[in-house]
Amino acid sequence: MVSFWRGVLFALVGVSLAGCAGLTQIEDTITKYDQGAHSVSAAEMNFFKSVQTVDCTSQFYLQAIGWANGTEHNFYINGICTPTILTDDQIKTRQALMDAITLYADKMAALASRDDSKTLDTNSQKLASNINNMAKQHQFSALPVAADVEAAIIGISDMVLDQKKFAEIKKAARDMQPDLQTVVMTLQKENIIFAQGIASKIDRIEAALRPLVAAEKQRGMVSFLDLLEARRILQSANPFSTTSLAADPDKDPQNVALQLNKALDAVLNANKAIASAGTGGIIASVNDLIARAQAAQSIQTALNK
Amino acid sequence: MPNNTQKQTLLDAVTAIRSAEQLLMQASRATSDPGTLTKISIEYNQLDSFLSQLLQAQAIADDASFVLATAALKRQATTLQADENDIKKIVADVNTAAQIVGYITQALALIAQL
Repeated sequence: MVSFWRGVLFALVGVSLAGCAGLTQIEDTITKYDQGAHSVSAAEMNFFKSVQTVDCTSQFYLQAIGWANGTEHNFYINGICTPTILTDDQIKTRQALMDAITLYADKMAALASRDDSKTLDTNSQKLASNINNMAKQHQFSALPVAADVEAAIIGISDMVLDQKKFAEIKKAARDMQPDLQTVVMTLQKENIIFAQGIASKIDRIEAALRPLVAAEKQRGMVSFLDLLEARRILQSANPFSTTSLAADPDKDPQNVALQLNKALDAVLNANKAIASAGTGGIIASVNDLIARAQAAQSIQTALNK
Repeated sequence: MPNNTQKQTLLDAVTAIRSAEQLLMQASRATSDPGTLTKISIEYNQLDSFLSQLLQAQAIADDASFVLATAALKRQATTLQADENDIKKIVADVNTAAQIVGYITQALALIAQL
Protein backbone atom coordinates (compact mmCIF):
# COMPACT_ATOMS: atom_id res chain seq x y z
CA MET A 1 0.00 0.00 0.00
CA VAL A 2 2.83 2.33 0.94
CA SER A 3 4.54 1.59 -2.37
CA PHE A 4 1.25 2.42 -4.21
CA TRP A 5 1.05 5.93 -2.65
CA ARG A 6 4.77 6.41 -3.23
CA GLY A 7 4.13 5.63 -6.92
CA VAL A 8 1.25 8.11 -7.05
CA LEU A 9 3.47 10.78 -5.42
CA PHE A 10 6.29 10.20 -7.93
CA ALA A 11 3.78 10.33 -10.77
CA LEU A 12 2.37 13.66 -9.51
CA VAL A 13 5.84 15.16 -9.09
CA GLY A 14 6.77 13.92 -12.56
CA VAL A 15 3.70 15.46 -14.19
CA SER A 16 4.27 18.70 -12.31
CA LEU A 17 7.91 18.93 -13.43
CA ALA A 18 6.99 18.10 -17.00
CA GLY A 19 4.45 20.94 -16.91
CA CYS A 20 7.12 23.35 -15.66
CA ALA A 21 9.53 22.18 -18.36
CA GLY A 22 6.85 22.78 -21.03
CA LEU A 23 6.11 26.20 -19.59
CA THR A 24 9.79 27.10 -19.51
CA GLN A 25 10.22 25.95 -23.09
CA ILE A 26 7.30 28.08 -24.28
CA GLU A 27 8.53 31.03 -22.23
CA ASP A 28 11.99 30.70 -23.78
CA THR A 29 10.54 30.34 -27.26
CA ILE A 30 8.29 33.39 -26.94
CA THR A 31 11.26 35.35 -25.59
CA LYS A 32 13.16 34.35 -28.75
CA TYR A 33 10.13 35.41 -30.81
CA ASP A 34 10.33 38.79 -29.10
CA GLN A 35 14.07 39.08 -29.83
CA GLY A 36 13.52 38.05 -33.47
CA ALA A 37 10.80 40.69 -33.89
CA HIS A 38 13.15 43.35 -32.47
CA SER A 39 15.96 42.33 -34.87
CA VAL A 40 13.64 42.48 -37.88
CA SER A 41 12.37 45.87 -36.71
CA ALA A 42 15.92 47.26 -36.42
CA ALA A 43 16.80 45.99 -39.92
CA GLU A 44 13.61 47.47 -41.38
CA MET A 45 14.31 50.89 -39.86
CA ASN A 46 17.86 50.83 -41.22
CA PHE A 47 16.43 50.01 -44.64
CA PHE A 48 14.19 53.09 -44.47
CA LYS A 49 17.12 55.25 -43.39
CA SER A 50 19.20 53.90 -46.28
CA VAL A 51 16.54 55.23 -48.68
CA GLN A 52 17.35 58.73 -47.42
CA THR A 53 21.11 58.09 -47.39
CA VAL A 54 21.21 57.02 -51.04
CA ASP A 55 18.92 59.87 -52.02
CA CYS A 56 21.21 62.43 -50.37
CA THR A 57 24.41 60.79 -51.68
CA SER A 58 23.00 60.90 -55.20
CA GLN A 59 21.99 64.54 -54.78
CA PHE A 60 25.49 65.45 -53.60
CA TYR A 61 27.33 63.76 -56.49
CA LEU A 62 24.95 65.07 -59.14
CA GLN A 63 25.13 68.61 -57.77
CA ALA A 64 28.94 68.40 -57.55
CA ILE A 65 29.18 67.08 -61.12
CA GLY A 66 26.77 69.79 -62.26
CA TRP A 67 28.85 72.51 -60.60
CA ALA A 68 32.04 71.15 -62.16
CA ASN A 69 30.32 71.12 -65.56
CA GLY A 70 28.92 74.60 -65.11
CA THR A 71 25.25 73.58 -65.04
CA GLU A 72 24.94 74.30 -61.28
CA HIS A 73 25.75 77.80 -60.02
CA ASN A 74 27.13 76.78 -56.60
CA PHE A 75 28.56 73.81 -54.74
CA TYR A 76 27.64 72.34 -51.33
CA ILE A 77 29.92 70.09 -49.33
CA ASN A 78 28.15 70.10 -45.94
CA GLY A 79 25.92 67.10 -46.75
CA ILE A 80 22.65 68.95 -46.08
CA CYS A 81 19.90 67.69 -48.38
CA THR A 82 16.17 67.62 -48.85
CA PRO A 83 15.07 63.98 -49.23
CA THR A 84 13.02 63.41 -52.37
CA ILE A 85 11.69 59.90 -51.63
CA LEU A 86 11.19 59.50 -47.88
CA THR A 87 11.07 62.46 -45.48
CA ASP A 88 11.89 62.40 -41.76
CA ASP A 89 8.18 62.56 -40.90
CA GLN A 90 7.44 59.63 -43.18
CA ILE A 91 10.20 57.63 -41.48
CA LYS A 92 8.62 58.44 -38.09
CA THR A 93 5.29 57.02 -39.30
CA ARG A 94 7.03 53.80 -40.36
CA GLN A 95 8.88 53.67 -37.03
CA ALA A 96 5.44 53.60 -35.38
CA LEU A 97 4.48 50.58 -37.50
CA MET A 98 7.59 48.72 -36.39
CA ASP A 99 7.00 49.80 -32.77
CA ALA A 100 3.52 48.26 -32.97
CA ILE A 101 5.06 44.90 -33.95
CA THR A 102 7.80 44.97 -31.28
CA LEU A 103 5.42 46.14 -28.55
CA TYR A 104 3.12 43.27 -29.48
CA ALA A 105 6.04 40.81 -29.24
CA ASP A 106 7.03 42.33 -25.87
CA LYS A 107 3.47 41.86 -24.63
CA MET A 108 3.45 38.24 -25.80
CA ALA A 109 6.71 37.66 -23.91
CA ALA A 110 5.12 39.21 -20.81
CA LEU A 111 2.05 36.96 -21.17
CA ALA A 112 4.25 33.87 -21.54
CA SER A 113 6.46 34.73 -18.57
CA ARG A 114 6.05 33.20 -15.12
CA ASP A 115 6.04 36.68 -13.59
CA ASP A 116 2.81 37.71 -11.92
CA SER A 117 2.72 41.02 -13.78
CA LYS A 118 1.65 40.69 -17.42
CA THR A 119 1.80 44.41 -18.16
CA LEU A 120 4.61 46.21 -19.95
CA ASP A 121 6.70 48.91 -18.30
CA THR A 122 5.54 52.54 -18.21
CA ASN A 123 7.62 53.62 -21.22
CA SER A 124 6.24 50.83 -23.39
CA GLN A 125 2.69 51.61 -22.32
CA LYS A 126 3.26 55.29 -23.13
CA LEU A 127 4.63 54.34 -26.58
CA ALA A 128 1.61 52.10 -27.21
CA SER A 129 -0.73 54.96 -26.24
CA ASN A 130 1.08 57.33 -28.62
CA ILE A 131 0.81 54.88 -31.52
CA ASN A 132 -2.86 54.32 -30.72
CA ASN A 133 -3.45 58.10 -30.82
CA MET A 134 -1.51 58.45 -34.08
CA ALA A 135 -3.81 55.90 -35.71
CA LYS A 136 -6.95 57.57 -34.35
CA GLN A 137 -5.72 60.91 -35.74
CA HIS A 138 -5.20 59.25 -39.17
CA GLN A 139 -1.44 59.83 -39.18
CA PHE A 140 -0.98 56.62 -41.18
CA SER A 141 -3.19 57.88 -44.00
CA ALA A 142 -0.37 58.00 -46.56
CA LEU A 143 0.37 54.29 -46.28
CA PRO A 144 -1.02 51.71 -48.69
CA VAL A 145 -4.48 50.52 -47.50
CA ALA A 146 -4.42 53.27 -44.89
CA ALA A 147 -7.79 52.58 -43.24
CA ASP A 148 -6.90 48.92 -42.68
CA VAL A 149 -3.49 49.89 -41.28
CA GLU A 150 -5.05 52.36 -38.85
CA ALA A 151 -7.56 49.77 -37.63
CA ALA A 152 -4.73 47.23 -37.26
CA ILE A 153 -2.54 49.64 -35.28
CA ILE A 154 -5.45 50.48 -32.98
CA GLY A 155 -6.13 46.75 -32.51
CA ILE A 156 -2.50 45.90 -31.72
CA SER A 157 -1.91 48.86 -29.38
CA ASP A 158 -5.20 48.14 -27.56
CA MET A 159 -3.99 44.57 -27.03
CA VAL A 160 -0.62 45.80 -25.75
CA LEU A 161 -2.35 48.09 -23.23
CA ASP A 162 -4.98 45.50 -22.25
CA GLN A 163 -4.75 44.02 -18.76
CA LYS A 164 -7.74 41.68 -18.72
CA LYS A 165 -8.96 40.39 -22.08
CA PHE A 166 -5.70 38.84 -23.26
CA ALA A 167 -4.39 36.53 -20.57
CA GLU A 168 -3.61 33.55 -22.74
CA ILE A 169 -0.96 33.64 -25.48
CA LYS A 170 -2.72 31.38 -28.00
CA LYS A 171 -5.86 33.48 -27.96
CA ALA A 172 -3.84 36.71 -28.14
CA ALA A 173 -1.83 35.42 -31.12
CA ARG A 174 -4.99 34.22 -32.86
CA ASP A 175 -6.85 37.50 -32.33
CA MET A 176 -3.92 39.66 -33.44
CA GLN A 177 -2.92 37.64 -36.53
CA PRO A 178 -5.12 39.64 -39.01
CA ASP A 179 -3.86 42.98 -37.66
CA LEU A 180 -0.24 41.85 -37.77
CA GLN A 181 -0.78 40.62 -41.31
CA THR A 182 -2.10 44.03 -42.41
CA VAL A 183 0.92 45.84 -40.96
CA VAL A 184 3.40 43.32 -42.40
CA MET A 185 1.84 43.41 -45.89
CA THR A 186 1.98 47.21 -45.90
CA LEU A 187 5.66 47.17 -44.98
CA GLN A 188 6.43 44.51 -47.60
CA LYS A 189 4.74 46.46 -50.36
CA GLU A 190 6.68 49.59 -49.45
CA ASN A 191 10.00 47.74 -49.20
CA ILE A 192 9.74 46.68 -52.84
CA ILE A 193 8.88 50.20 -53.96
CA PHE A 194 11.59 51.90 -51.92
CA ALA A 195 14.14 49.37 -53.20
CA GLN A 196 13.34 50.58 -56.71
CA GLY A 197 13.90 54.15 -55.54
CA ILE A 198 17.29 53.23 -54.02
CA ALA A 199 18.44 51.36 -57.14
CA SER A 200 17.32 54.26 -59.33
CA LYS A 201 19.48 56.70 -57.35
CA ILE A 202 22.57 54.46 -57.45
CA ASP A 203 22.26 53.96 -61.21
CA ARG A 204 21.80 57.71 -61.63
CA ILE A 205 25.27 58.24 -60.16
CA GLU A 206 26.75 55.69 -62.57
CA ALA A 207 24.92 57.28 -65.51
CA ALA A 208 26.44 60.65 -64.53
CA LEU A 209 29.97 59.31 -63.96
CA ARG A 210 30.31 57.40 -67.24
CA PRO A 211 30.25 60.46 -69.58
CA LEU A 212 32.72 62.29 -67.28
CA VAL A 213 35.28 59.50 -67.49
CA ALA A 214 34.73 59.02 -71.24
CA ALA A 215 35.15 62.77 -71.87
CA GLU A 216 38.41 62.82 -69.91
CA LYS A 217 39.65 59.93 -72.03
CA GLN A 218 38.73 61.82 -75.22
CA ARG A 219 40.75 64.79 -73.99
CA GLY A 220 43.66 62.45 -73.23
CA MET A 221 43.45 63.35 -69.55
CA VAL A 222 42.10 60.14 -68.04
CA SER A 223 44.31 57.98 -65.85
CA PHE A 224 43.86 54.60 -64.25
CA LEU A 225 43.36 56.44 -60.96
CA ASP A 226 40.32 58.29 -62.36
CA LEU A 227 38.68 54.94 -63.06
CA LEU A 228 39.52 53.76 -59.57
CA GLU A 229 37.94 56.87 -58.09
CA ALA A 230 34.79 56.48 -60.21
CA ARG A 231 34.55 52.86 -59.09
CA ARG A 232 35.03 53.86 -55.44
CA ILE A 233 32.23 56.40 -55.70
CA LEU A 234 29.86 53.77 -57.09
CA GLN A 235 30.84 51.27 -54.41
CA SER A 236 30.16 53.79 -51.67
CA ALA A 237 26.79 54.69 -53.19
CA ASN A 238 25.24 51.25 -52.62
CA PRO A 239 24.42 51.10 -48.90
CA PHE A 240 24.11 47.32 -48.94
CA SER A 241 27.39 46.32 -50.49
CA THR A 242 30.97 47.31 -51.16
CA THR A 243 30.44 46.53 -54.85
CA SER A 244 28.28 48.18 -57.48
CA LEU A 245 24.77 46.96 -58.38
CA ALA A 246 25.97 45.41 -61.63
CA ALA A 247 28.84 43.57 -59.89
CA ASP A 248 26.85 42.12 -57.00
CA PRO A 249 23.20 41.41 -57.92
CA ASP A 250 22.63 39.69 -54.56
CA LYS A 251 23.12 43.06 -52.89
CA ASP A 252 20.75 44.75 -55.29
CA PRO A 253 18.27 46.74 -53.14
CA GLN A 254 15.46 44.66 -54.63
CA ASN A 255 17.03 41.46 -53.26
CA VAL A 256 17.67 43.13 -49.92
CA ALA A 257 13.99 44.12 -49.81
CA LEU A 258 12.96 40.53 -50.59
CA GLN A 259 15.20 39.29 -47.75
CA LEU A 260 13.56 41.77 -45.37
CA ASN A 261 10.12 40.70 -46.57
CA LYS A 262 10.93 37.07 -45.80
CA ALA A 263 11.95 38.10 -42.28
CA LEU A 264 8.61 39.91 -41.90
CA ASP A 265 6.84 36.79 -43.16
CA ALA A 266 8.69 34.81 -40.49
CA VAL A 267 7.30 37.13 -37.78
CA LEU A 268 3.83 36.44 -39.13
CA ASN A 269 4.36 32.67 -39.48
CA ALA A 270 5.75 32.39 -35.96
CA ASN A 271 2.70 34.21 -34.61
CA LYS A 272 0.43 31.88 -36.56
CA ALA A 273 2.26 28.90 -35.06
CA ILE A 274 1.88 30.36 -31.55
CA ALA A 275 -1.85 30.68 -32.25
CA SER A 276 -2.47 27.20 -33.56
CA ALA A 277 0.52 24.83 -33.52
CA GLY A 278 1.89 22.54 -30.83
CA THR A 279 5.10 23.32 -28.93
CA GLY A 280 7.24 21.68 -31.64
CA GLY A 281 5.64 23.72 -34.41
CA ILE A 282 6.06 26.93 -32.45
CA ILE A 283 9.75 26.22 -31.80
CA ALA A 284 10.35 25.44 -35.50
CA SER A 285 8.66 28.66 -36.62
CA VAL A 286 10.49 30.78 -34.08
CA ASN A 287 13.82 29.17 -35.10
CA ASP A 288 13.04 30.13 -38.69
CA LEU A 289 12.33 33.68 -37.51
CA ILE A 290 15.67 33.78 -35.69
CA ALA A 291 17.47 32.60 -38.87
CA ARG A 292 15.67 35.22 -40.97
CA ALA A 293 16.38 37.87 -38.34
CA GLN A 294 20.09 36.97 -38.49
CA ALA A 295 19.98 37.43 -42.27
CA ALA A 296 18.30 40.78 -41.68
CA GLN A 297 21.07 41.63 -39.20
CA SER A 298 23.62 41.03 -41.96
CA ILE A 299 21.88 43.82 -43.89
CA GLN A 300 22.49 46.08 -40.93
CA THR A 301 26.14 45.05 -40.82
CA ALA A 302 26.45 45.94 -44.50
CA LEU A 303 24.80 49.30 -43.82
CA ASN A 304 27.35 50.05 -41.11
CA LYS A 305 30.31 49.36 -43.42
CA MET B 1 -4.90 61.43 -50.32
CA PRO B 2 -4.74 58.76 -53.06
CA ASN B 3 -7.25 55.93 -52.80
CA ASN B 4 -6.09 52.31 -53.00
CA THR B 5 -6.58 52.08 -56.79
CA GLN B 6 -4.64 55.30 -57.36
CA LYS B 7 -1.85 54.09 -55.08
CA GLN B 8 -1.58 50.83 -57.01
CA THR B 9 -1.55 52.78 -60.29
CA LEU B 10 1.34 54.89 -59.00
CA LEU B 11 3.23 51.80 -57.84
CA ASP B 12 2.76 50.15 -61.25
CA ALA B 13 4.07 53.32 -62.91
CA VAL B 14 7.13 53.21 -60.60
CA THR B 15 7.87 49.66 -61.75
CA ALA B 16 7.51 50.60 -65.43
CA ILE B 17 9.83 53.62 -65.11
CA ARG B 18 12.40 51.58 -63.18
CA SER B 19 12.37 48.95 -65.94
CA ALA B 20 13.02 51.70 -68.50
CA GLU B 21 15.89 53.01 -66.36
CA GLN B 22 17.52 49.58 -66.14
CA LEU B 23 17.49 49.21 -69.92
CA LEU B 24 18.85 52.73 -70.32
CA MET B 25 21.74 51.80 -68.01
CA GLN B 26 22.41 48.74 -70.16
CA ALA B 27 22.66 51.07 -73.15
CA SER B 28 25.02 53.34 -71.20
CA ARG B 29 27.32 50.45 -70.29
CA ALA B 30 27.38 49.34 -73.92
CA THR B 31 29.18 52.49 -75.14
CA SER B 32 32.15 54.68 -74.23
CA ASP B 33 31.24 57.53 -76.56
CA PRO B 34 31.10 60.70 -74.40
CA GLY B 35 28.38 62.35 -76.47
CA THR B 36 26.05 59.35 -76.32
CA LEU B 37 26.78 58.83 -72.63
CA THR B 38 25.94 62.46 -71.87
CA LYS B 39 22.63 62.18 -73.72
CA ILE B 40 21.80 58.92 -71.94
CA SER B 41 22.66 60.54 -68.60
CA ILE B 42 20.27 63.43 -69.33
CA GLU B 43 17.48 60.99 -70.26
CA TYR B 44 18.19 58.94 -67.12
CA ASN B 45 17.94 62.08 -64.97
CA GLN B 46 14.48 62.76 -66.40
CA LEU B 47 13.30 59.24 -65.61
CA ASP B 48 14.79 59.27 -62.10
CA SER B 49 13.19 62.63 -61.28
CA PHE B 50 9.85 61.30 -62.54
CA LEU B 51 10.24 58.16 -60.44
CA SER B 52 10.95 60.25 -57.32
CA GLN B 53 7.81 62.28 -58.00
CA LEU B 54 5.78 59.07 -58.31
CA LEU B 55 7.16 57.82 -54.99
CA GLN B 56 6.36 61.14 -53.33
CA ALA B 57 2.83 61.17 -54.74
CA GLN B 58 2.03 57.70 -53.38
CA ALA B 59 3.14 58.83 -49.91
CA ILE B 60 1.02 62.01 -49.83
CA ALA B 61 -1.42 62.19 -46.93
CA ASP B 62 -3.84 64.97 -47.92
CA ASP B 63 -6.20 65.42 -50.87
CA ALA B 64 -5.09 68.92 -51.90
CA SER B 65 -1.40 67.95 -52.13
CA PHE B 66 -2.29 64.81 -54.05
CA VAL B 67 -4.28 66.80 -56.63
CA LEU B 68 -1.27 69.11 -57.09
CA ALA B 69 1.13 66.16 -57.36
CA THR B 70 -0.92 64.32 -59.98
CA ALA B 71 -1.31 67.55 -61.99
CA ALA B 72 2.49 67.95 -61.94
CA LEU B 73 2.94 64.32 -63.02
CA LYS B 74 0.56 64.79 -65.93
CA ARG B 75 2.38 67.97 -67.01
CA GLN B 76 5.67 66.10 -66.92
CA ALA B 77 4.16 63.36 -69.06
CA THR B 78 4.49 65.69 -72.07
CA THR B 79 8.24 65.97 -71.43
CA LEU B 80 8.52 62.20 -71.16
CA GLN B 81 6.75 61.80 -74.50
CA ALA B 82 9.45 63.99 -76.04
CA ASP B 83 12.07 61.85 -74.27
CA GLU B 84 10.66 58.79 -75.99
CA ASN B 85 11.64 60.25 -79.36
CA ASP B 86 15.10 61.24 -78.11
CA ILE B 87 15.72 57.75 -76.72
CA LYS B 88 14.97 56.21 -80.11
CA LYS B 89 17.75 58.40 -81.58
CA ILE B 90 20.26 57.92 -78.73
CA VAL B 91 20.07 54.19 -78.01
CA ALA B 92 21.84 52.34 -80.81
CA ASP B 93 20.14 48.99 -80.29
CA VAL B 94 16.68 49.30 -81.86
CA ASN B 95 15.12 46.54 -79.75
CA THR B 96 16.37 48.02 -76.48
CA ALA B 97 15.17 51.47 -77.53
CA ALA B 98 11.74 50.05 -78.37
CA GLN B 99 11.54 48.30 -74.99
CA ILE B 100 12.48 51.48 -73.13
CA VAL B 101 9.87 53.47 -75.03
CA GLY B 102 7.35 50.69 -74.32
CA TYR B 103 7.88 50.99 -70.58
CA ILE B 104 7.63 54.79 -70.66
CA THR B 105 4.42 54.56 -72.72
CA GLN B 106 3.06 52.11 -70.15
CA ALA B 107 3.87 54.54 -67.31
CA LEU B 108 2.28 57.45 -69.15
CA ALA B 109 -0.90 55.45 -69.76
CA LEU B 110 -1.06 54.70 -66.03
CA ILE B 111 -0.54 58.35 -65.09
CA ALA B 112 -3.35 59.36 -67.46
CA GLN B 113 -5.73 57.19 -65.38
CA LEU B 114 -5.10 59.23 -62.20
